[in-house]
Amino acid sequence: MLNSYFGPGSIVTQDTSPSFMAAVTQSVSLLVASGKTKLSYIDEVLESLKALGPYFVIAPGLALAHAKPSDSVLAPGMALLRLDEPVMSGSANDPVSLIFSFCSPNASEHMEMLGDFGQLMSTDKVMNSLLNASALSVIEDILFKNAL
Amino acid sequence: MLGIEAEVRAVSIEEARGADKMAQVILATPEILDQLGGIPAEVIAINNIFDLGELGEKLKATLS
Repeated sequence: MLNSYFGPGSIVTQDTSPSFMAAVTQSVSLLVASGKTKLSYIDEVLESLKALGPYFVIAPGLALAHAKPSDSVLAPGMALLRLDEPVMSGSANDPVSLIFSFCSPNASEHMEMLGDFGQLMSTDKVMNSLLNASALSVIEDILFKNAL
Repeated sequence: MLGIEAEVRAVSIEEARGADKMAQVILATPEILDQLGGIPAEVIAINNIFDLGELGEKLKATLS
């Protein structure tokens, strides 16, 4: 279940962000603030983004910001920044409204978390429901209880 | 869906390129394809990782 990965305060909605990089930084900062990673994880994600481009924009409108498992990761974690006005990342999947971030201490946790996440996100209407959710509690119900 | 048994792993680019090149098929976003040249595996670009239709179609085309 995804609820074990999202720490307190790790879901934020706001109007927009100055840039994709700013949005990624903010989303990953939620992992730091909720005790899932050290501060250094932000740099690791931004380095990957600079080196490779927006490779973690893995579906239309959705980014899953992450870096490979490292000592910066304290616990498996996820966070979400939802923007009402999307930003451009340079990916074919632009524009991006849902900036998830995640961290994993090792490859097996990584697979388990992505499996849970993929199963939820490949369900019809989940994406739209997350985009249109009028309150944080609605987003939490979708992510944690599969309530559409 | 495809009736294929497979071992699936999440790996970094370095691991995919590393000494243990055991993968038969690698799924990646288009941005990473350049980094995966020269590996003895079928590399498939996936645009929407949650689209089971796209995944099924591309895997079927590669594995058949």
